[in-house]
Amino acid sequence: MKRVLKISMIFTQFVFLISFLKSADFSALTIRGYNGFAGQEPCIQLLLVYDGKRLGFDKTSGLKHEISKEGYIYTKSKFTEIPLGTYEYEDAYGGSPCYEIDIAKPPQGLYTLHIIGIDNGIYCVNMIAFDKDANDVQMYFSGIISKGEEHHAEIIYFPYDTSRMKKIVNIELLKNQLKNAFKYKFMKNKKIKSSLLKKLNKVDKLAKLNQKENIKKELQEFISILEQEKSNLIAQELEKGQNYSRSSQQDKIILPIDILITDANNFLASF
Amino acid sequence: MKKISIFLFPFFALFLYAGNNSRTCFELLLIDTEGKMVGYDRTSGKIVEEIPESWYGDIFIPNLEGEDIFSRKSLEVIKPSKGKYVLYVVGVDTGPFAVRMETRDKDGNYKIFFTSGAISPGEIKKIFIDYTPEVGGITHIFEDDTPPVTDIEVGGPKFEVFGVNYISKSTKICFNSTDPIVVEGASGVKYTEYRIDNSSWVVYTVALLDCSVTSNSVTLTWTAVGDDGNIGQAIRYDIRYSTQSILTDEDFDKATQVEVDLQPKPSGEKETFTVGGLQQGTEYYFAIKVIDDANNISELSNCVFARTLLDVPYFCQADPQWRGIPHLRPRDVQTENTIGKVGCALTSMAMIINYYADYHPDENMRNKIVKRNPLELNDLLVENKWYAKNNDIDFRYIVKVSSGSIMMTKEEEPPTDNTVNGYLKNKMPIILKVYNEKTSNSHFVVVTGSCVPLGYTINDPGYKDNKNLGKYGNKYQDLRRFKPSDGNDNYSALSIRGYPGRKK
Repeated sequence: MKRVLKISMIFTQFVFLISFLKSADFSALTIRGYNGFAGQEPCIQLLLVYDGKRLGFDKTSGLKHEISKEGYIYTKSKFTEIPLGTYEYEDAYGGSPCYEIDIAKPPQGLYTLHIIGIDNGIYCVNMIAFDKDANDVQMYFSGIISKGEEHHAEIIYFPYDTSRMKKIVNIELLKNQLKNAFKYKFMKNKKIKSSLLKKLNKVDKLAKLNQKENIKKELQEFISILEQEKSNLIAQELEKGQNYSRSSQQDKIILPIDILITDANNFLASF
Repeated sequence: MKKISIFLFPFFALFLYAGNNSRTCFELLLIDTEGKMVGYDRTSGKIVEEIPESWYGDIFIPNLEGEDIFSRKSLEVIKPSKGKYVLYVVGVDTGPFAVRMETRDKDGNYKIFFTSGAISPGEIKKIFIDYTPEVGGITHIFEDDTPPVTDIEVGGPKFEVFGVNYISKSTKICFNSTDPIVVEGASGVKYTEYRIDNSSWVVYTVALLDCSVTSNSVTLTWTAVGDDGNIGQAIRYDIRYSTQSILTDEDFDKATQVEVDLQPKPSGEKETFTVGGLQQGTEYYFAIKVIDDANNISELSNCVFARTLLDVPYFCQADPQWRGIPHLRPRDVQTENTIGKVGCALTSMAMIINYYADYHPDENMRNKIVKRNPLELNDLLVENKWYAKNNDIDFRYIVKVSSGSIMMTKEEEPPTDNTVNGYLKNKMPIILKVYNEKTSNSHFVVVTGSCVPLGYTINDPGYKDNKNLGKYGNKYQDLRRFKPSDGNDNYSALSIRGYPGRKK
């Protein structure tokens, strides 16, 4: 009986293996970097690293376009070390121009995404991952970046499961984004600037003392200030006859205050 | 745009994937009627490009492994003037050569012409080109300037007087001309001239074919020949086609005969005949023989190659039915980004989907594909959120739209004409990303056919009447490859490589 069961299990595994081998492989990973303001040129470049292999922007030599004798335009000064991976500037998809990383049949595992600021601004990173059976997942995050600054994200790609992307948020990132938001006038209410910065500095100190509960408290207060500011902004827009949520959805303007709230919440969740 | 493109590559170009031993053993030099040159000037040892909008140089093509390279010479003249040109093939090493010529007229009609031979260092071959833009390009090509071997058969009685052979004035003389440099894959142009005593020179040539294509027909054009050399009028034509090259009488006999309802015109006039009922995206070879009133059959013409276009349904993004509809947004959203304005990728995707709804090689998978125009496709993508965050198309969603029947694919090789033609040869239309310098915008178009190397026939979602890449400088920036999926992923990357127009 045991032997029958064993044979049956082997047969089942064999059938599974055969069906797996015969099935088409639709797995793919696409990551696009946009400007947070619709229609504007991207303020970031992307570099994806997997197992030491690089795909994307080579920040040491910059990005150059060269035209071959046959008329093809090649993007030079970029890494293409991940097999079946490309990195290109794309501006004809019908939305906003972007830099696009695209990998067919990406290997399973952890990828590190470097978001490199080439201009001061708000960016958006969009990931679309297909598994082998063509099930898709989309994830995105935004950030406020300055030229030369670098943000990071982690992507876990699964060919047989749902892939994930997560922006890496730490206190330095929160502080830089907050400073950038005011420096580049994405946020204008200077009354809250100092109190927000104070909160983050305090979090920084508490982190060194490993006082998690106090960190959470400070972060919650930081988020509350931002939430209150957001409510005020919505009220102001309503007074002007504008619809905050509707306009942001249509024009794809990512409000910096939303970025700060989202990132602070993610950071809070890590404690 | 009028254009002559002349491509020279080792005869062993058919062995493109065989390794790294191929090499060029020749250089090219083209001289126009004013004496301006483009190509390799062996007197100075330098490349000259005196003819306006001309270019000469090497093109490198990766081999199958993507490691070694195979090189060919490329010579291009954009907007060539009408007139006669002389092409010199200058030997720098011993070996075979092949010249593939493509011409296009201002309407984008193109013609392909092949010739080949052997060459040794210092040897020069001359090819005479008579370019006439109004009829699509080359009208006559005369190979070399040494007379072909000409056999003369005297049909009537001869008589001898004091050791000299005489024939009577009414004796029939038959000329049978063969060009010694014509080899397999060459043009087959046969040319000689003769005269009797002091009468006029008579040029004798067999019919020379050219062609243009649609998705189900090929239109052949040639110059009518007479029943006696170039004198008089033939009685009928025997036109045949095959999916194999027609280079010998045996090939011709095996080829499919076309019912020709065409009364031959007087010698020297243009003949045109359309062969219909052909399959889309299929490679065909055509040849012709001419029959005179005495039922004499001419020699075989040159063999012309044509690949019918892929039958990709056309959609225009500016169609009134959808041009004002928001692109990848709900219909009630107010936006400037409408299908008419930014929907080239969407419209190109719709064309690919509708093509495979008719021509997916697997019937079961074909039946899964629902035909959708750009508006219906837009609605489907919006409803399912099958687009990137910034209202961008992601071509990979074609797999969702087609219920797994079509997939976007990728290969390591860089985008080259070989890639494009490999796909077309396998009846798989692809999308090219092009750049319009006038508008400074990138744009997507669907390729439906090609000839070497840039004579692509396209479905341009932005411009209904634009059928080639001339508007985009005959260049493309990138491509998006698609393939039919049968669930087994049998359409491997390696199976779709090929060289455009190669002889089988």
